[in-house]
Amino acid sequence: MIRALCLVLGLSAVLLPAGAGPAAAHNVVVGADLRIAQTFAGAELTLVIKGTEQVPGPLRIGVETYQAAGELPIALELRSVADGRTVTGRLTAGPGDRYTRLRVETTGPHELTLRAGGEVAVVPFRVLVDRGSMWELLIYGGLFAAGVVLVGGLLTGALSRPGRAALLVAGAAAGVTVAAMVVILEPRLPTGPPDGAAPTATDQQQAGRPYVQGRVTTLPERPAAGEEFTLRIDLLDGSTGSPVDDLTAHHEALAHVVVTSEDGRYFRHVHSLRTAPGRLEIRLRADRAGRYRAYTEFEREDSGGQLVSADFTVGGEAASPGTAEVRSGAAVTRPAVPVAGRAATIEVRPTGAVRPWLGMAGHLIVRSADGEFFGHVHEMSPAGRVSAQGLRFTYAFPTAGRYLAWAQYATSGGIVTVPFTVEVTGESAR
Amino acid sequence: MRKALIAAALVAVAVTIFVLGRSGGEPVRVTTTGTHYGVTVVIDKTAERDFTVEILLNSGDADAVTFSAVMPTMGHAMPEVTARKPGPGRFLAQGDLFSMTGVWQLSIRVTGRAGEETLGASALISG
Repeated sequence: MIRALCLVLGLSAVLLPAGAGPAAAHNVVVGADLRIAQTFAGAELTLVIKGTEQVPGPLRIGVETYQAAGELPIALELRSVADGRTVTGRLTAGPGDRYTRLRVETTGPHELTLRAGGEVAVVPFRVLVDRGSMWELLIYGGLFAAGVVLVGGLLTGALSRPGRAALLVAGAAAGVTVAAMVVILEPRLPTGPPDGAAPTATDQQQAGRPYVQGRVTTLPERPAAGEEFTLRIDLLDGSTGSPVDDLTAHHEALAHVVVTSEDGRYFRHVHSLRTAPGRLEIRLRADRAGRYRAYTEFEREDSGGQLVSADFTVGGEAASPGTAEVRSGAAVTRPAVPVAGRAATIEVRPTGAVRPWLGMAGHLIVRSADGEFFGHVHEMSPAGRVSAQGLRFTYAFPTAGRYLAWAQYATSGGIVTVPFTVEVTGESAR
Repeated sequence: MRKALIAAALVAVAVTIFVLGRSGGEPVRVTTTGTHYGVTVVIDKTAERDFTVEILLNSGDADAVTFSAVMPTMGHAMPEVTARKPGPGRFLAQGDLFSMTGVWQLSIRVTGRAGEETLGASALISG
């Protein structure tokens, strides 16, 4: 009996495709919605594409607004990359969450193009639909066979043929055993990839992907103070030189772009739009002339996070150097003067009920005074439960000196940014 | 009883050979469509490190097609190959187009009356 069971399970393992599921990046599947933050026409939105159980069928697409810029009509165009079939729709971003439905005819790669306020974003993703597990077939098949054989055994027993009856009852027991084993083992058994999944190699270990080189430019080349310009970030593979177009949603964004002025008085944390393969763009306006630095955080598929930083200059009349606006008591640092290399905790009391934003209750951006060091820290409270002390961030500042910091969180009224500075000492108090 | 076990074992061996036989030899087919052109790419391994890539035009009017591939996980890039045109709507690239097995990102650069467009697709190249 055990040998027979091993044969059945072994045969099943041969028949089923081995292991690896699809890569997680940009897959839209039931229970795993795609959420991508976008800074569109001055509004801070999160695009949500919900999984669908059936294809052909409707795909729910929506925007959640975190920082409104009035009502923002968005034109949507959903295109299948496989066959080019295209459907269009409209959505108006505004207070609250807004959704619409667009019909998809096939699983697999798609592109969603969003147009609003003269800006365009193209979001690539895959529509996946679970095929249904073959193990379920084995469970129900085993139970069905057991039922049939059991009835046969009872009938045979009633007809006074105990030998055959015993054999049939044993068959029923085998069926029940197979079904029960699969029920127990199912969470650990490999399943085939869903329909529409990207091809994956099962015989290679995922060893990450090459580093990315970033080319940061502005359009126009030298923007003027007070005028809108486009910050363009071209991402290139360090090994092949090809555009890097395999960014995964990293804390609910393809890329987090933080732009600060040298003195730290200017701060923007925005979410660039993908306008072409390997190209990210964001519209900005800097109110004063001077040097600015853009930090771009992102993550390639099957890799860890990466940071690309570059300077650019805003022309115009030079303004006198200033200092970052410090709101007294807005943030409490414990210890009051953190020691370099040791974890310090920063507490920020929010001004209203905190709404999760980018998957977290709060974000803390830190920068060394010279701009050479950059950190992005997350608030670690359980979802929706901010402690009595408020938002808490733990971070080990690497070296002594002055750091500029901005704590950010979202409320129903928008995104709140709390700027402050932290002085870090190199020695612990004795 | 012994005969039944032997028969079951033979069936299992036959199924295994059938499955393994299918997994390596079938050409890979992938379809991708851009704004101006749509193609189906059929990749067939003809010998060790020798492949035939057939590019069949599904939509658009193409004069020339070039083919190249990169393997993102390893950082490998293969040279761009100009496909010859054995017939209308059919282009053929041959040679050492993939240096190893795994998932490759294909770039099909199509030039025609509607202009130039690069179509992308992923394909699993197995041994």
